[in-house]
Amino acid sequence: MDDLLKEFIIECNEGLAKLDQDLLVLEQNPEDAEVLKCIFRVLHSVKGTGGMLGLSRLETVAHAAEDVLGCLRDGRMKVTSGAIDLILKAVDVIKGIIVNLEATGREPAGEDGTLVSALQGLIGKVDAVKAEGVPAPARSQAAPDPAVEAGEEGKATRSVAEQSLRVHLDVLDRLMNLVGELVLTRNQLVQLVRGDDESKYMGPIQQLNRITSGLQESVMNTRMQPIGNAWGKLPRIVRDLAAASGKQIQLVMNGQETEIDRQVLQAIQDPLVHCVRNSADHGLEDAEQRVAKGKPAQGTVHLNAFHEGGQIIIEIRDDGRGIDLEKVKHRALQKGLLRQDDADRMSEQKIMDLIFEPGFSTAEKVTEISGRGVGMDVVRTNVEQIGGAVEIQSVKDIGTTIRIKIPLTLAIVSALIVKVGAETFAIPQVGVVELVRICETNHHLIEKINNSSVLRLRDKLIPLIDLARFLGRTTDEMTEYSIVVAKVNEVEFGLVVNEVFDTQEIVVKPVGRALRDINLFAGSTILGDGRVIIILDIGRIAARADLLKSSEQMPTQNHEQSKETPGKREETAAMLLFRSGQQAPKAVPLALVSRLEEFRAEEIEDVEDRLVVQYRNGLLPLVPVQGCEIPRDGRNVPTIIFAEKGRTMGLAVSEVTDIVEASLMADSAGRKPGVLCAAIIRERATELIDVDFYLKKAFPEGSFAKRRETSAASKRVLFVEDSAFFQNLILPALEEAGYSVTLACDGREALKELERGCVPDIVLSDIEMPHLDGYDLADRLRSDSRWSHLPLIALTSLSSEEAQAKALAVGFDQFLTKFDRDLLLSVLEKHLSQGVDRYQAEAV
Amino acid sequence: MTFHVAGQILGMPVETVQEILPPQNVTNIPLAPDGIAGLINLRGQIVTSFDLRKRLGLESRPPESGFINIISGTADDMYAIVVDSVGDVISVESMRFSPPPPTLDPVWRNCCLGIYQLEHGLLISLDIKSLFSIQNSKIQSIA
Repeated sequence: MDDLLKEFIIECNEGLAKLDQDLLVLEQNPEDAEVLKCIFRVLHSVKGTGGMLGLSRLETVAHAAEDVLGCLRDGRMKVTSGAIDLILKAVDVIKGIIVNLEATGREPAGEDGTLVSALQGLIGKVDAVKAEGVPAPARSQAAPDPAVEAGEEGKATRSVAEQSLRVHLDVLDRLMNLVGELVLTRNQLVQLVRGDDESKYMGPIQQLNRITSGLQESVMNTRMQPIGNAWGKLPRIVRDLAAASGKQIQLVMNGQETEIDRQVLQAIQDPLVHCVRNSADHGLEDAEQRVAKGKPAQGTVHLNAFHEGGQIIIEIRDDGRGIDLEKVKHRALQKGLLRQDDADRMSEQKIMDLIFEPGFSTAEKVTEISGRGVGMDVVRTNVEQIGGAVEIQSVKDIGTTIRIKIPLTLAIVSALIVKVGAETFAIPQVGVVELVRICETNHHLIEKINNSSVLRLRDKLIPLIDLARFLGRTTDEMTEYSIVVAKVNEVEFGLVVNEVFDTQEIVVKPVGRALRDINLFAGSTILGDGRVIIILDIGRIAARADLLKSSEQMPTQNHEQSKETPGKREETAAMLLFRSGQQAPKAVPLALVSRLEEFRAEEIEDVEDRLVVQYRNGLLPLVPVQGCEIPRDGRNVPTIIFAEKGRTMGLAVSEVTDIVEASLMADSAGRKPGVLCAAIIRERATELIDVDFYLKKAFPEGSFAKRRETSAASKRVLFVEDSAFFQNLILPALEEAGYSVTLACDGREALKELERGCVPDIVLSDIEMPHLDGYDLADRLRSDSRWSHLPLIALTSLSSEEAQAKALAVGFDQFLTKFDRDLLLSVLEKHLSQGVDRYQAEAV
Repeated sequence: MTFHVAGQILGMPVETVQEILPPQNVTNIPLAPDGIAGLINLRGQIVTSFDLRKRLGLESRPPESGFINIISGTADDMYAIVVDSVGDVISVESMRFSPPPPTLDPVWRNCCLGIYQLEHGLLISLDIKSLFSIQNSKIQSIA
C-alpha cells in the first residue's frame, strides 16, 4: 500500500478513536468549545486529506459532518441529540470506510446520499430560517477560519508532538523480547562468576547487571498504557444501550490514567466491556422502576481503577437492582449446577459466585447485548488466565459491584528456583510466605499421618504437598528437604521440595497450546545455563491437591469430595480421624490437637497404677481411648497429645488414620462416656470423642477445670448455635466454667428467648445459621434499646477478613474462630467485666 | 517432506517445515501425556516437542538409535516432532491419493490425512493438528 495512504489511515484512526467520546461529551456539555474544536479539526483533516488522496466517499461524508460542526461552532445551530446521532452515524460510516481501506487499499462501493442529505438537512433548516441573512457570505466567512485555526493549532500541536513519537507496536514487542533475552544472558553471566569473587569479570558484570535492570524497567514502562485506552468504546456502548432499552444511564469513569501493561490491557478489554454491558442491560432498572423505588431516574455505572498492593483493581459498580439471589438459585437448580439441599445451606456469597459457572445466565430472553450464557465465566477465565481474580458483591435494590484484581505485569517475575526430585522448577515469588528447611534436628516439626504430612509452624498446622509425588514422580524418603510455605486466598500450605537454590528474575514464556490442559503451569523459562524449566502455578496446584487429602488415595477420595462439596457447606472443621481397636472410627477436631507422637512400648512406665511416658522433661500421662488397650508388647503406640491449661496428656490410639475437612452432620443421640456425639465422616458413622472426659481421666485429682471466680457463677450466657456438634462441644465448656447457659438454635430462637424474659449478661453467637443469622441478630440486638448494651461475641468457623470486618461493623464486640476453649473463656470474662461498666455507663 | 518412524514412511508438506535439528536436551514435562516428549530450547525460544512414535502408539525407540527433530509451526506456536530419520523431499502431485482405510488402527486414522501410493510402499500424510489433541489420562488420575 502506498505509504501516504498508510500514514493517512493511522492518523485517521487516531483521530477517530477519541471522536466517539468527544461527541458524547459535547452532547452532555454543549457549551464546551474546546471539545467542539477538536471534533471539527478531526473531521476537517479527514475531509482534506481524504479529498487529496481521491477518496471521494470519505470526503463527501466528512464534508457534510464538518459543515454541521461548523454551524454548531458558529452558534448558528444548537447541539441536539438528533444532531449528535447523525454525526455519530457519519463517524461510523467513516470508520467503516477506513477499515475497508486498510484491508483492500480502496474505498468500498456504496453511497451515502441519505446520510449526507440528512446532515445537510440539519443545516438547511437553519439556513432556511435565516433566509434573509445571505447564506453564501456566511459560508465563505466560515472558510478562512479553519485555515487560520489550523495554523495556530499547528503550532500548538507541534510542540506537543515534539515530545512524543509514534512507534509501531511490533517494534516495541521486539524490544521487549530482546530485553528478555538480555536478562537471561545476564543471568548466565552472573551465574558464571558466582563464587569467584576475585574474578576480573566481576566488576563489568555487576555494571552490566545494573544496566540491564534499568533497561528492563524502562522498557517495561513503554508497555504501560493508561487503562483509559480500554475504556474508549464504553461511553458509546452505554449510550447505545440506553437508547435501545429506553433507560437513562450515565457512565462515570475514574482512574483512566492508571497505567497497566499492554498485554494485561488487551486481556481485560473484553471482560470489561462485558461487565459494563451486564450492568447496563441487567443491573439497571428503567426510569419508572427506579423512581418507584425512590432512586434517581438516571442509573449510573461507575468505572473505577486504582493501584493497590502491587495489583490493579478495577471496579464496575452500578446502582441498579442488585443480584436476585432467589433467581440465581433457581436458575442454578434448573441447570443442574446445584442440588436442592446445598442450595438451602449456601451462603449468599457462594450463591452469587454461581454466576461464574459456565452455562449460567438468568436473562429470560437472550438479548443481543448480553445474556447469551457465555458471559461471566468467560470473564473469570480471561482474568484468571493473566493471574487475576474476579469478585462480585451485591445488595438487593442498592446495586452490584464487580471487582477485578489483576497483576501489574506479566513478563518478568521474581521466582524461586527449586529442585524437585531430579528436576528443576520455578515457583513465582508472589504468594510465597516463608521457607523452612527440615533436617535431622527439627524433624519433629513434621507430623505424618499415613501418607499426608503437616508442618507445625508456630502454632499452626500447615498441610503439605509433596511436589515430587504430586507431579507423578517416584521419590525416596528424604531426610533433609525444604518446605516452601505459600499463601493463596487466605489458605496456607507448604510445598515439599528437595532444595531451594535461589531467587532469580525470569522471563515468563507462555505454555504451549498442547499443554494448556494440564493447567498447573504458569509458563516456562530458560535458565542461565540454557536449560528449559517449567514455572509452577502454585494456586492451581493447591486447588488440585484439595489440600487436606492424602495423595495416594486421591481417586476415591476425590470422588467423595466431589459428591460432598458442590454446595461447599459452611460448617466444616478439620478433623483428625483415628481408630481404637476394632471399634467404630473416631474423630477429634484438629484444632484441639496439640501434636501427634508415637511412643515405643519400652518408654511407657507404670507409676501408681497409671501409665506415663517421659516426654520433654516431664511425665506425660497416657490414657487409652475407650475400647483400646495400650499394648505393652513392643509395638509403637500412636498418641494424640492434648494440652489444656498448662497440662498435657496423651491419648493412646490404635492408629491415626487421616485428617479430613468434614462437615458436621452431627447426631447427638446416645451419649457414651467419652463420646460427644456421632457424625457422618466419609460416609461412616464416626464417634467424636469428648476430650474433657479423657482429660479428667488423666488428671483425676480434679482441680483441672478450675472453677472460675464467683464473677462467673452468676452470669448468664445466651449461646446461639445451630450445629448440634458445636452445641455439644461448647455448652459443657461454658457450664463447667460456671456460667448459666441459655441455648438457642438460631437467631430467631434467640430473640424468642429474649422476649420470653431471658436476661443474659452476654451473648455468644454463631454466624451461619438458618432463619436469622448472626449478622442479622446482632443488628436487631443493637437497634433494640433493651439489649443494645449486651456484649456480643461472634463464634464461628468463618475466618476470612471480610467476615470479621462485617461482624465488627454490624455490632459484634469481638470475633472468635472456633474453637479455642481457653481463649473463649478469657474473652467472655473480659467482656463481662467490661460489660458491667458499659451497662452502667449507658444506663446513665 | 518424508520421514521415517519405525519403518513406516510419513510425510508432511515441505513448506510447513522450518528446519531439521539433531537431538536436543529435552526438559520433561510432569503429567504430560505420553505423546509429548517435553520442551526444548531453540535459540532462546521454548518449543514443545512431540514424540511421534508414542503418539502413534508405537513401541519406543531402542536406546541407541538416533532420532531427529523436525521443527515446524508459526512464530508464536512452534513445535518439534521427533522422528527416527528424515528422507527426501518428494513431489506427490502425480501420485494416487486415497483417504485412510477404515481398517486402519484408530490412533493412526486420527493422525492420517490420507495415503499416497509410492513406487514401493505407501506414504502416510501426517495430520499435524492431530498432534495437539492428545487424551491426557495422567490428569484424570490426579484430579
